[in-house]
Amino acid sequence: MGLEINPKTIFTIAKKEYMDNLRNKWILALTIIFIILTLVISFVHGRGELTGAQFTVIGLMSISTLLVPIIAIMLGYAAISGEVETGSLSVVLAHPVRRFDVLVGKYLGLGSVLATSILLGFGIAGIVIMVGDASDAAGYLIFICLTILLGLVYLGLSICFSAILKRRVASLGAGIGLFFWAMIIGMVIMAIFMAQGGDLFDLGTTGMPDWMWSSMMVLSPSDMYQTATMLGFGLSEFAVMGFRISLPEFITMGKLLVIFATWILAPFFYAYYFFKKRDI
Amino acid sequence: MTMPEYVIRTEGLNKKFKNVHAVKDLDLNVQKGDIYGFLGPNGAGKTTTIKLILDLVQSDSGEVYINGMHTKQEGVKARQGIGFMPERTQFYRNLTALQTMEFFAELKGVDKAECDQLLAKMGLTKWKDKKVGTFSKGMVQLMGIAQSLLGSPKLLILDEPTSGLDPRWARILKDTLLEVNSKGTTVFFSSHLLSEVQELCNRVTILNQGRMIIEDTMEKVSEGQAQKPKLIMKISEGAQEAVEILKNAGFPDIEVHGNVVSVHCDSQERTKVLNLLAEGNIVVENFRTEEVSLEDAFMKYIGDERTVGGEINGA
Repeated sequence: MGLEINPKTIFTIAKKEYMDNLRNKWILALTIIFIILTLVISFVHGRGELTGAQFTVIGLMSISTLLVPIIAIMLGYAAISGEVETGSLSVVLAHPVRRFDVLVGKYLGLGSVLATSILLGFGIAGIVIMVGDASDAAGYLIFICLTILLGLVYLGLSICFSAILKRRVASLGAGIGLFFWAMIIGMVIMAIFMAQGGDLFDLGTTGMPDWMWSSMMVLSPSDMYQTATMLGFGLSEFAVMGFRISLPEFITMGKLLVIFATWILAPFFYAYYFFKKRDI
Repeated sequence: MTMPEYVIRTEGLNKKFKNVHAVKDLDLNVQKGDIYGFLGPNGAGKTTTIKLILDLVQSDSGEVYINGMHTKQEGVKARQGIGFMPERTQFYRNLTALQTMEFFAELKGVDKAECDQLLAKMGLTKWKDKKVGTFSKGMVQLMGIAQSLLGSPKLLILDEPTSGLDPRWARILKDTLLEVNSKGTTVFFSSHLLSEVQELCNRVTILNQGRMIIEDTMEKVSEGQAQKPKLIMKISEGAQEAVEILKNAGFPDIEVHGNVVSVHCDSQERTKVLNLLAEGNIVVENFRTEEVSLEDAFMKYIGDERTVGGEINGA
């Protein structure tokens, strides 16, 4: 029996997830914090010396790389394990539905909540920025899309944990673990560099060696996201904390999008593999 | 020869969890039109069996057929026209009762007009626009029943449906089950309450420790045990002597608990029992008779040593 997809089931499940989670008070609270922070940043940056969307976006990214993973993990961690614990998933799956469709519906519904939260957070800030200077509108739109992709990576991974782990608490723990991993992976790669006799000072002058770039672009979603955003604005050279960073030529938007897609799709199919035969 | 129409059929169903053999070699046969009671103490494997039937839990071995369709090979088709209510469920905290019903109606492909009717039937009209997260357990239970009835299912599977309901709503539920059954719905429900099963079901299975102990019609199960009523006597002293006298007179199944002696006998034999004891100078302070209920049968089947039906107080 092949995978026959039933769009009606997918849509029904997605709609339910959207309605239920958009009213989740935690998601609401995080979205409001998101909106406030982005507004503050966009006003402050608009009035300083450095104007223009590009500079504001650097500030906005520092918020989104922190808040978007949290929102995504909050949305995804209980998607399966939580609904198994409450028993409602057994009612859903007693219907004439396929588990594949249910899982796709959950991804799409929760993904839409995430996208709504990001669009609200960055959309309002975007209007503020564009009123001042609309020249970077395209770059800003790419930035919003990349932020959604970043969220989908975390959403997919946390739904995956939720499909594998028996208990809701365990999948929350895995989600928290994921969050901290993403926060420290850059430092871990840096530590490997130092352990191999690398000099921090060299990074400022000759830049990071290629292997460091490659590992960050594959292993660290937040670095992938920030780099892709820079490329979206057509920048390949920028200053971070006093370092002048120039992107090596082999890093392209196309490659980054493929890596993003892999990070989003692989956990989905891994989750399905477990969900398909899971006892509910 | 016409084959009976089996709505649910399981063959040699087995399920082990880490260290529990939850369901052992289970063969169930639920026929069309049955109100089928699935009876057993807590932890007997009732919920696991129901989940195996619905393919929510993967069996270790054995087959399940719903309306002749194999649930592994034609799962989606087999689950058409089923209403299911699990034990102690919660629904979606942030959806209203009506939204929850509409969600399930959509999954089933049923007209949404039914949602209002079923909520009304379960007395939830007043709360239909309130979030289910604010509901009491009993109200959630009523929601569970309401959604299971969507689309007038041909087969209704309920796991401990009356648990958490007050007596009034338990009554309404039972009447609803009888009503849908009279319109052609096969009802399969689990319970640990004998009275419930006795009241509603035409067929019953008793399950204990994952194993089917009996599957038969309600009458046969009740009948299969000591058919004679039980005579329960409180005697002042000499319980052991009383037992001896009755044994010698040929009465089987004599029970003693302190100074309470009980024996199965019909009304003619009752006089004989009392006369025999009087001749043996044993004073019977008082006595009463008790019809054998399914509870006796059930306890006997599952080997529970508790005395059933209560003892005479006042010792």
